Amino acid sequence: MAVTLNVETLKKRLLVAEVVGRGRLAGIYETASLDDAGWNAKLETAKALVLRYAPAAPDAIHDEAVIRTVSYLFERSATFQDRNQSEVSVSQPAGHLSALRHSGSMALLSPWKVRRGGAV
Amino acid sequence: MIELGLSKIRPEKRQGDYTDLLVRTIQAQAASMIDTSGTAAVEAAAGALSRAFAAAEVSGPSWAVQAISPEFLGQVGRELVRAGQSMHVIDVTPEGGVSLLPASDWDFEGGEPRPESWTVRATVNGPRSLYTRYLPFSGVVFVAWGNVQGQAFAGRGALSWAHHTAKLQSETERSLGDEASGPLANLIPVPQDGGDNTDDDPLKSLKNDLRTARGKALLLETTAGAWGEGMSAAPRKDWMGSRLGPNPPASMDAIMGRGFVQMLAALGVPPGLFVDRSDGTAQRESMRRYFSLTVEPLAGLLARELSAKLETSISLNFSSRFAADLSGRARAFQSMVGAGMDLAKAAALAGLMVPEG
Repeated sequence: MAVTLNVETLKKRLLVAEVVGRGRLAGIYETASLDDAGWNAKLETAKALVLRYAPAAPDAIHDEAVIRTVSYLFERSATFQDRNQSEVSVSQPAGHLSALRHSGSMALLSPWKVRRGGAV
Repeated sequence: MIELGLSKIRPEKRQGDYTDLLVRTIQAQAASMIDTSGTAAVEAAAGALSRAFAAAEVSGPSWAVQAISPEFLGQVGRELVRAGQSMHVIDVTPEGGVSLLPASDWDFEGGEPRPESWTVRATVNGPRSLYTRYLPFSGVVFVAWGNVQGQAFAGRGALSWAHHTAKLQSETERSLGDEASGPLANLIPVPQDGGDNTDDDPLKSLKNDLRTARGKALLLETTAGAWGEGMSAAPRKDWMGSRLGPNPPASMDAIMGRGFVQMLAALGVPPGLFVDRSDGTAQRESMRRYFSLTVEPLAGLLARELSAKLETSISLNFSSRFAADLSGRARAFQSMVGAGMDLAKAAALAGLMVPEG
């Protein structure tokens, strides 16, 4: 009922994915050139999203969901576009999509998601 | 006094024979006979005739009036509709009175066509035993709705004569009954299974929220995104419940309604008595026709049989049933007087005169 990954184990899992050529991470990991603080920020973001959505899911599911979410965050970071709006330069992803939903993590966690009907 | 002498005949006592019942059931199934008496139309007619008979005023010697009880009359009326025939064994009580015991089964024996030569083997029932009695035909009260052609001892009822209609009505009602006993539910599609209500069931809270909503607004996660699994896994409509339950075609309802009316007609009951579209005038006219065309003629047959078998004069009178029709009789009286008829004669014809003595 928790995320067992840390920055090191997360890197290893992502490298395995890169070796087998599973995702589009090849290159991203290299070009991202993040330091451990950057890695930790991605990990904590993914953990917060995953644990908020389905805190009761098994550890293995949590870990897998975090990996998917981090991968998505990397991918989206790589596609940041620089835009000039009113003389202010900002970087933003091409689409404003839910990392949890569009990384496939939500589908993975869905069987453990406790659903409620909030009465007004 | 009537000559009964029945107590001299020693009854044969036997337990209910399961094998006989089984053989009869198999024979009935082999002959494709189905029970067509389980419809509302049949019970409406059986109940109506039973209650009408039970309300008859019996005239005759006191010992006979005591034997011809409302229970006896009601049972005869019911059996005439349901079975087409009715038999009661004339019995003498230990106190010397006469009683009429219902027979559940009987056979006629004897080679002659004359009824007085027939012998009847009738089965009467105690709570735990069956008794078979061998009696002369004069020892039983037997009436029939109608008879098989050329066989005065074989009664045949309306259900048997109009068996096509009876079967249609019975099968229609059975079919509707089967349909009504099918599953009944409101189905709400969700992207995942419905959960098992255990503590680990992630939908347990949602189910409880829906159960206790009672008209309140609920904020719900849409099912259109299939709960994160993509559009292909989403229900076609978001939170749209669909009812699962009986949905008989309208034609079945129409057939049942027409069949009901036709069965009533076949069973001698003017349908207006039981069809809710009839107004008060039609109901009264139906009641008059029912008594004049069904109840009184059948009661006449029964009274004649009772008079013959109990060897005394018995009559069954239903005039008190028309007390509610005072306004109709008053109009008839007015018409007859208006046409110039004598007052006393018109009052007598309209049934407004109380018989003297």
